[in-house]
Amino acid sequence: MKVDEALILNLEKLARLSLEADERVRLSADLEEILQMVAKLEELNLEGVEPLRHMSPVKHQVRQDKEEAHLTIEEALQNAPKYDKPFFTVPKVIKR
Amino acid sequence: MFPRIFSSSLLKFASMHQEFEAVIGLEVHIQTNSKTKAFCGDSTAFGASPNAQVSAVSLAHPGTLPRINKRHVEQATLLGLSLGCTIQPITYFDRKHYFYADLPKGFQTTQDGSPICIGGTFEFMHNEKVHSIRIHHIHMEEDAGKSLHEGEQPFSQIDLNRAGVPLLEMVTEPDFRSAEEVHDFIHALRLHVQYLAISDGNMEEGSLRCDCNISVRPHGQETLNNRCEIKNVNSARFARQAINYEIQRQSKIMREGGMVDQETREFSASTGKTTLLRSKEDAHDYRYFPEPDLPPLHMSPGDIKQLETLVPELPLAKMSRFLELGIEEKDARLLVGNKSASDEFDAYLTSDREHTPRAIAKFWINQLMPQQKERSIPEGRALQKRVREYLNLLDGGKVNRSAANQKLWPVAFDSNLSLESVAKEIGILRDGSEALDLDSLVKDLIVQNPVEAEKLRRGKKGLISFFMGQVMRATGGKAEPQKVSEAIKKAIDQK
Repeated sequence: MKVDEALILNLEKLARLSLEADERVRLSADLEEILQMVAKLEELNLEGVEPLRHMSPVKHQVRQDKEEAHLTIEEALQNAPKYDKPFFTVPKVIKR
Repeated sequence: MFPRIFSSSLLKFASMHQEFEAVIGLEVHIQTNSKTKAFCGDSTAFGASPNAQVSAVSLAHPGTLPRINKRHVEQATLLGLSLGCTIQPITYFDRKHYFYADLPKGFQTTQDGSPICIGGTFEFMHNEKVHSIRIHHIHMEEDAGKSLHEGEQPFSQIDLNRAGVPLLEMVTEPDFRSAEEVHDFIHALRLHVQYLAISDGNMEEGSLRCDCNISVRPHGQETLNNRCEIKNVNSARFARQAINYEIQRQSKIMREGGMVDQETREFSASTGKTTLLRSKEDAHDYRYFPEPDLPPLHMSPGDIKQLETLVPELPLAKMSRFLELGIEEKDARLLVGNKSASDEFDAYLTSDREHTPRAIAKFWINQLMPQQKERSIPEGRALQKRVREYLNLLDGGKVNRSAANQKLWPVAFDSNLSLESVAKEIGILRDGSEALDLDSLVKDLIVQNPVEAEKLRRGKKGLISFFMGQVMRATGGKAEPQKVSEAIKKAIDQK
């Protein structure tokens, strides 16, 4: 798979990153290498093989519907870059 | 506040309807009533102070691990079983990514590839007939937090109490053909989740929200045209308004030879219109992938069987049972529409073989349910005992029915005395001397009101109610109307 500039720009947008031109070149090369490596898998015959959805053989252990310890509002807010108790605050966003 | 945008163009709309057919599918989000969140033990109680119901998991602090709430799985299964869905023995969770300040993890935990319930149908009353729509699937997911953008401040406020609250998403097939069908469906679904006791179905608090997918096509066309999705409609009425507006908008584009663009829109309750939120080009790329922190969830046949026994009698079944019992249709509908009242009614029915279900239903609707709205009254045994006492008192003729309904029943739960004693206290208990008193009372009244008496004698029948009113006032409502009327006729004829 060819990693072109359009793809890099889209990934940049999705990851909320802004890269320099030389970084884009470097990243394109890296990505292409990774994709080539993974492309090896396409050589396998997977006819009739169930997709592996999870690496662990563990079954999910459900939790009882019981209240557990909360953080206090102060604790919840203390690591936030900005807050206006009892709210976290972020730059104004109106639409999703 | 809500412009009547359709009334002015009803005629145009009717002719359009013949020209185009609307195809509508829904994605309904049901907020369930579990005590804690989907993947951690934070409380979900409504109305807490902002950010008081959060933990390291819901704030997405590094190193935390989610664990699913058993109740969430049970409620999803129960809903599926009640609608004839196939319950998947193994299901997985996925991450749905997007950036937004009220989503601390940067993704929503949902089930994209393997929903817990597949297929099934939902039946509901529409235009007095049973209407059925197919369900594509139901899956488990979690809610995001809340953003507040009030005031002129340059920042938004974030409350994460809702982040991680369990949701069930029901996705229907595109089987709806009109806004009215959707409206009736939402009301029926609300009652359905109340019957299952998995959600309060409270639309004001956002317990039921839906996204509506709508397209229009010429009648007879098999293929579907581009659809538009209206996001986050939070009441049955708004859904009806939004869909009708959208059918009109899309039909107009089609009639003018254009093509509807696939887009996401939002509905404004104040204008009654839908407006563009984002076009297909700006559609989100959610980059779904399996959630590695949540191992596969297994449901054993035994678990499923046990939950099956918890599916209660559902509204449509209850309705036909009530009709078979001889309850009038409008009364049956009112009872079925109120889960707790109809449960109390059912419990009472089994304990009272003397009165007909029809008569008890009337009492429930006209006397009991209005009172329940105004104040809290006892439930269960205590309620049943009082109701039976009251109905027996009426049967025995010891009180006048309308006087009792007006004066005795409203205070029936204020006292521990027997209702007969209460009736005596408030002066409406008959002590057997009325018949005698009634004749002399009527005679006195005729003497006191000679003009009216003369008119009545000459055939002005309406005046009988004038005398009846006088008698009722004089007896404090204790007299039996039938007997009063007889006494008046007798007295008038004698003269």
